[in-house]
Amino acid sequence: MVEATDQALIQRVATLNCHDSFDVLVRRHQAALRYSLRQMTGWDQSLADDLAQETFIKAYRAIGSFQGNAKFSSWLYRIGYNLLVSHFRIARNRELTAGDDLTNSTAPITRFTSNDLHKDLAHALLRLPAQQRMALHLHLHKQLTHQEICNIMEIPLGTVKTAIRRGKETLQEELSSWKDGDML
Amino acid sequence: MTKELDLNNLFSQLRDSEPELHESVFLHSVRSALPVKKHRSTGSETAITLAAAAIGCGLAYNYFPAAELLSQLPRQFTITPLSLLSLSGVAVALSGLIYLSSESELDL
Repeated sequence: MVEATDQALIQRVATLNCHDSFDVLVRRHQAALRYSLRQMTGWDQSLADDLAQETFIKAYRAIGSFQGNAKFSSWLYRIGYNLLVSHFRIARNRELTAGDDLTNSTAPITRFTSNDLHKDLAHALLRLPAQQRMALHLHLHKQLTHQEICNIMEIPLGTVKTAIRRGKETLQEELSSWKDGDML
Repeated sequence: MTKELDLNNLFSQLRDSEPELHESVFLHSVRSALPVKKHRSTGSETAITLAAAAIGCGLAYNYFPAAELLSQLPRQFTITPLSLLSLSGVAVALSGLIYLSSESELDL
């Protein structure tokens, strides 16, 4: 059976409010988005899933404005990234009001378990600013081009390149405690 | 000196071992949070249908060339053997069609 394209499903959702078509889109893209958001939130599963859910709901409400110039997945990432930044901004303001220490912990990163590389890296990525974290994830994990990252994050190309370079440097430093031959 | 980590290799390992995230619970939570489609009540549906019918009748009354069409109808009929034969032919064909359609509906 031939599967409907994203564009055809989006058309049905936009014109008929078809929930079944939107279900197919959610099924198709949920795993990648949820995984990325887990990586962005220090593997906080419930926060990542809440953000992913909010991303899909926002996408559903705004699907009529989706132009089709970019991939649907890129559009989802853009919504997800904006929600993530907004979440961390609110959390930061709350911490400021409460008088908590805002700086990221400087404790060395230790690997939790030998088979939980995903969680370990998510914790390491949490030490980076959200922009660097996202740029690095999209570049190294999702293997997107600088231009694609630039479109998703809506920042200039030069800023993307700088964020990736600085992110790599910081991550190298943060992961320096990981022993040689541990898994790399 | 600390050996630099190969980030490309690290992320490649991550890609290869990406965990499967089950969709059923997540899908259900998204679905239940979607805005519900608005269903019209029977009363409003009836009102819309009646209004549409009234508009349709008004348009037909004003723009449909009924008088012109009626004037084109023949006033006199002459029954000839040929017209009788044609009429009976049409009647037989119609009967046959009705019979066939009723048989197929019964699924005999």
